[in-house]
Amino acid sequence: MKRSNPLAIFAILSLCAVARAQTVSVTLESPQQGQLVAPSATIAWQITFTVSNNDNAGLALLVCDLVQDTANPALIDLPPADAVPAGMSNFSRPAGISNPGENGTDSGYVGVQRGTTGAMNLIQIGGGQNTFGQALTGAGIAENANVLPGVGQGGTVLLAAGSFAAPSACGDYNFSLANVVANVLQQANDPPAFSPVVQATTDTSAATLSFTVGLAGDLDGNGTVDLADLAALLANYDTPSGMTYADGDLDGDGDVDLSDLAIMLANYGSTC
Amino acid sequence: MLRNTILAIAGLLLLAHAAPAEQNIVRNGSMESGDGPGAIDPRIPDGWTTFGINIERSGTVNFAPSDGAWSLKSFGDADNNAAGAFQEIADVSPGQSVTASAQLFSPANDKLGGSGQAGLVLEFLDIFGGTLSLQQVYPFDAASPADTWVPATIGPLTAPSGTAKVRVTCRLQWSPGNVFGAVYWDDVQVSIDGGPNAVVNGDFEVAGHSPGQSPNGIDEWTGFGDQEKSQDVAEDGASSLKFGTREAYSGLFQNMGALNAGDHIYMLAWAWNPSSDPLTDNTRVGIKLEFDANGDVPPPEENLAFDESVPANQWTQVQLNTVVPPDVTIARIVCIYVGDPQTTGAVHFDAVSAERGSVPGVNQLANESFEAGPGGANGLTDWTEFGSPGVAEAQKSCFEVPAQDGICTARAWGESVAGLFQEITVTPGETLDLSAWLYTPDFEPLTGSGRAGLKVEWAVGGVPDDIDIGGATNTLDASAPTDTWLPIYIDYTMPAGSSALARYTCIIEKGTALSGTVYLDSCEAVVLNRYDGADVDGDDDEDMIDFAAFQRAYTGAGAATLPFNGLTFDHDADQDVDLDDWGFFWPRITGPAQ
Repeated sequence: MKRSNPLAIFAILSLCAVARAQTVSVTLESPQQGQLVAPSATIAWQITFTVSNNDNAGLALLVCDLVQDTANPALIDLPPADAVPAGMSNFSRPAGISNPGENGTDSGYVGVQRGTTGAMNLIQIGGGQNTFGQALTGAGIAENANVLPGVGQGGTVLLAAGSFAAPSACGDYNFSLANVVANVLQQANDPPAFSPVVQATTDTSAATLSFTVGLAGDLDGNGTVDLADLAALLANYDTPSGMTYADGDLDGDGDVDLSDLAIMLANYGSTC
Repeated sequence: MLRNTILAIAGLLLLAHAAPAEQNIVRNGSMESGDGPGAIDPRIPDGWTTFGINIERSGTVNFAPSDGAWSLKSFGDADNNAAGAFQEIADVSPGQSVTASAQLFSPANDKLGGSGQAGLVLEFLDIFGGTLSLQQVYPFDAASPADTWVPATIGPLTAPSGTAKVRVTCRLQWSPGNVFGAVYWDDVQVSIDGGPNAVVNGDFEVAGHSPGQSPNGIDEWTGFGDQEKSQDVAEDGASSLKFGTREAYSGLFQNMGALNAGDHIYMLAWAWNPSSDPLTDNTRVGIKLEFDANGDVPPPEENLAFDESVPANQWTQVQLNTVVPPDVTIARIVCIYVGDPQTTGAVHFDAVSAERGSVPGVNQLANESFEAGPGGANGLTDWTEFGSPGVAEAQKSCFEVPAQDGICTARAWGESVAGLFQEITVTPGETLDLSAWLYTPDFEPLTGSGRAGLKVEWAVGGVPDDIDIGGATNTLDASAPTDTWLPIYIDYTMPAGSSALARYTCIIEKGTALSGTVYLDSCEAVVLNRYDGADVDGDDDEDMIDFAAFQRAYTGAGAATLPFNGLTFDHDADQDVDLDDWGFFWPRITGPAQ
């Protein structure tokens, strides 16, 4: 067993003395944020991040869970995210380090489903760079030893995006990011030197997603498709574009037309 | 400044050996326990299984740095080619770093000669006992110096995939007819490293609302007194634990789960004594290992199959096969007789055995055939008798009936309960197979509702004394260097027969000081013998949360000191987290468990 050099220890420990404040800010966004949507409507989401400047050399690792509030009116299986964004390939297998893929995928970067069937969350979305200065060629993981510096320091970066169908039960729904873990590079070195990393503080103050599911046609969200909703739709009838659900665009095609009216009339008088 | 630097270096020199200790998992490696002296097999060291003819526990020579006075002796014979002793150890997992070592000796007046070679063999075995790999060294032969202890070392080796246990063998080999002299082994060790960090949020990075702490408290810990999460300084991450001296005692604690006999825990933390408000007077700060009682005692088990229906004048075997319940560390093996006022006759016990799954083939009971002891009340060596004198008793009996083994038995009789027992150390989860031979003679046959057989009673073991602050390695006081991180640690092995809930406590004792602040960070506790791969958070998977910690702990080859969580990731125990450790880690990424 090698003996430690006390002078070297002293020098290194002295460098560790000052507290650090590298920060990775993570955001969960959706076009449906705060909106009233119809049952089964598509809820698109994306997770983005930025990394603080001047105190690190960019993102080394970021993983987080997309979870549903257990108090939601109904629970669903959150499907994995879409493909790995182009700018994040160094964080996903085979170039980078991510969980093993599931359901026929090579990489778990898009998240893995965990929890009770029918209520599964999406766990550990994201991955890390190979910061060890050596490529594991042919291993299917960490095959790129070149560290990409400055990730997240030049503006907002997309970590992952996906979508799911809104549950059929009416009510308010909340989703959030949990277990957010981020490492940042202290410095980015060329192989074979390794690149040291430190844990970053994570800011998740904007990492929630909320929407309300209502009866198709319940434009004002009062739980009933009634005359007020019909009047609102008719006020926008034949508007060809730019319409929202609250305007009467029940099929999500941007206009208010006969198909929207048919959806409303099918539920007319119903209470959620 | 120069003075502080010198003090800091001096302090670090004192604490520089705070590297993780290895866990020796060999039982009775110094040969101090067992039968003897000087007699040939079966008087062998406890825990060891011998092979060959001339192998014995000996009090002739002893390796001085090791405690005691005993060693293992072997010498050759004309008809064979090897002799020795081995021990199989189940506390090893695939990927684990394993090192075996021993000391060998041959005296000038009986020097090993001819073709004799003595050494050490280390085998990795699968769950069925098959050999996965084998390494052996023979550093001692006719050319070796006399009267000198010569070391033998194998490893460190990485346990191959499928490893369930290792077998270490002290072996003397020779060409038939060409050997003379004797060789001795002592201080046999097999060491392992690694394990998950048993402390959650040990670097105090996660704030929270755990009970009993200050408004700036810390998740997973329970606090008391003058303590808070601080970002003034940090050894890892951005936060640490800050202690003040407003209260007589202040601290945080966290329960880590149960430790059992033989568990080897290594606790580490880093402390910072700020020059701006240093410790004064008799203030002491450190880490404690506290214990509490662990669990309820499981009910006993018994097999009272021997009764009046069993024919007289024949030995009948009674068996009891069980699994040691959780937390149990002591099993009381009881030969029991249960009579009542209608019972007549007597029952004889003989050839009793208790075999642990972790030590197959070894009877854990001493004086198992009741040969030793003067007889009479409590007259059986190693056994404790119980009963009611004159009503029901169990005592040594020789020549009354033909013994199953030897010439003596234990005879029980009477109108109540009587018997004998011995206690043995056991490990939770292992099998325990008991056997005894019972006999009732036709001149006093068992009648009525009397029964006899085997019983096992369990004990969860004793609660060790706390490891309090004040020790040389786990405490800082006002003499500590300022403005540098200082390691403090506890290296502790649970004693035989113990089982307890363990608690990691960071604490400051104010004493008479009127001022002073200290910071603690990077608290780790690794149970070295409970190796769990690279699962640093101990949640039985290896996923991106574990990898995030590995990436931060990475030092490259030749690090000056292990960083936070380095205890877990330094698989090859070379005091760094480098590509070799990464090579171990990455194939094992499983993703999060369901």
